[in-house]
Amino acid sequence: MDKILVIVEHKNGLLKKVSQQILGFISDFCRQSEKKILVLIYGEKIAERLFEEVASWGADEIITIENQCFANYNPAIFIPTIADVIKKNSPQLVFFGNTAVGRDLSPRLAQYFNSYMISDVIDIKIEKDKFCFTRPVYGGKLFEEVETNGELVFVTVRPNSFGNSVNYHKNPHIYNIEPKAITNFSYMVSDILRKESEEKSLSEAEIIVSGGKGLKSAENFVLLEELARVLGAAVGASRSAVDAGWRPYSSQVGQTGKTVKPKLYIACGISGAMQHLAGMSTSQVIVAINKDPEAPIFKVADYGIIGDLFEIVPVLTEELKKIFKD
Amino acid sequence: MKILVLVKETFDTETKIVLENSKKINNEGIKYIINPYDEFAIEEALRIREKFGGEVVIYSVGRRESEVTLRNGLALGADKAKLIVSEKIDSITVSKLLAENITKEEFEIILSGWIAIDDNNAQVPARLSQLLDIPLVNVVTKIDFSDDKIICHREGDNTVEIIKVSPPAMIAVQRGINEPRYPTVKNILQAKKKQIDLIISENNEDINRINITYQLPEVKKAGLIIDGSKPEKAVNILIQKLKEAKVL
Ligand SMILES: Cc1cc2nc3c(=O)[nH]c(=O)nc-3n(C[C@H](O)[C@H](O)[C@H](O)COP(=O)(O)OP(=O)(O)OC[C@H]3O[C@@H](n4cnc5c(N)ncnc54)[C@H](O)[C@@H]3O)c2cc1C
Ligand SMILES: Nc1ncnc2c1ncn2[C@@H]1O[C@H](COP(=O)(O)O)[C@@H](O)[C@H]1O
Repeated sequence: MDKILVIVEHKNGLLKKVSQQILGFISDFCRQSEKKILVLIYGEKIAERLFEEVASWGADEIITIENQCFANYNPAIFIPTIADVIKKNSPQLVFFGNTAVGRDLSPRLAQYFNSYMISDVIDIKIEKDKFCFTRPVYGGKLFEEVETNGELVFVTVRPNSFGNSVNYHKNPHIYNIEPKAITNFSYMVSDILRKESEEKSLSEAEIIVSGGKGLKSAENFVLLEELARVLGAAVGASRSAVDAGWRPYSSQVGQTGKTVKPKLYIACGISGAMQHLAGMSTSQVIVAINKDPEAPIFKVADYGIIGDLFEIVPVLTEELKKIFKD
Repeated sequence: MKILVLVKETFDTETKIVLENSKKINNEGIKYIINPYDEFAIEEALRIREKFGGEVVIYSVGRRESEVTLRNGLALGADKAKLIVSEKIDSITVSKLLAENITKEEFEIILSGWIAIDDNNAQVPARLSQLLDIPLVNVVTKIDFSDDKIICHREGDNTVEIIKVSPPAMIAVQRGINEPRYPTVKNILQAKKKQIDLIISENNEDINRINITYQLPEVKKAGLIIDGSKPEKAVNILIQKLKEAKVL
């Protein structure tokens, strides 16, 4: 029987959202097919409730690597063991989230198996043994459709690409494997610094409030932070705002920054240069607040307010506060 | 120290994409640039050379005409360039061609961008490092040297990982690592005389196991534009619409 392997990530005892989205999508599909879902979970400690969560997505098998060596990501340690899992199970597809780990591990494994890899997928169509993957290229100005024919392919999925799925509980077969001993110590992780404020990760956020040159200063970003707090959103920025030193580079959205796909993207004081659109044009709903009616951002906005952000944003924050209080 | 820098020629970021058919992008009148992430790689290579001495060699796989783009890399200060001419520039082919030629080199570091803005793949650095069997540190925002080790800051999701490797190693860089310089007039003039070796690749057999087609994104229908001169009113319309669209 054909198999699909999903390599999941978790944090604080819960699946990362993108892992859950992949599982939901695959689970929906596998209900009508003969394919088997294998899920690989690794970590120093795997919380009990993760098994339930994964089982609720119809996993047939859960393979764990519960080991101290798998506490922190290190490709030199991960590759031999995960490659072994792939060899033993011969899946057709191996899925990762398009995360820091997925983006790094997936192409290494793809090369190890001399296989194709399809990066940053936002849609999948499946017909029997034919898979068709859609992915943005040229900064979202073009979509590439890749059709594969059942051979081993590695895939990374952009967070928030798939909608909600319905749980489908199965009783998976669960087993743990031991990491392979490694002899290659050429890659050493000597420390991991966590960013001070547990800032919401942009690439996984469902709502993003983004600011540009129109914010005029670093201090004014408080306006967006307040709006973001009310919405449970992450704060992004245009390159001009980053270059001005108002926001850290890690919050830059665009061609040379992060690519995001939230449910809602609110662009404040951002003109909408092509290079910015490259990072956010696949968002589900785009709102633009800009005082220039000619600003190109209005061409991609679903809803645009022509006005002064310093007048609009505080009112928006207040009105939303009222709603979320009820 | 000998540093190789991988440079990919890409479309200018302002380019409007036009399709000839579902298999082919029209490249008439396209302006080409160095992939922006590779500019950071070149800059970092130059800084390492300034500190430790040595040589910076650009490696590129692409069309014959990309010589013009590579000259811009030489104008920044790289010593020479090698262009492997190939029609096919998918990640698998590029990595293979680079590996075949780079194994003949003695080098300490290979620098590259972590992703190309055209194909959005982020695959070549990982594939090449596997083929050359050297460590790769991916998505790097800082490089330091200590004794015989290279210490990199790698960008994680909300973390910075400090990674140590020994040369020969590969490092794929992320924006934020440096601010690339502009070419000086002197360097532009010198670049004209610098050497670009052409390497003609054996025509790679086409093992097309996958089928790729292109599609332009649907043109979004015009959005609703709200007059913001009365903020309360505008905001209420917006919130109403967002509720209807089920995003709130
Ligand atoms: C190779 C390359 C890569 C790039 N990569 C990126 C990238 O990754 N991300 C990115 O964002 N950019 C990128 N850029 C830069 C991009 O071209 C633009 O310069 C940048 O996005 C502009 O930022 P902005 O919209 O904040 O500023 P501006 O273009 O200056 O726009 C500011 C906007 O704010 C509006 N405004 C001003 N005051 C107010 C107010 N009080 N109320 C409401 N609106 C107001 C103005 O009308 C204007 O539209 C890149 C450029 C190049 C060449
Ligand atoms: N054709 C190429 N020639 C030289 N280097 C390349 C080529 N393609 C990709 N690279 C390098 O690999 C990095 C990632 O590219 P990609 O895997 O295509 O996203 C780029 O930033 C380049 O440094």
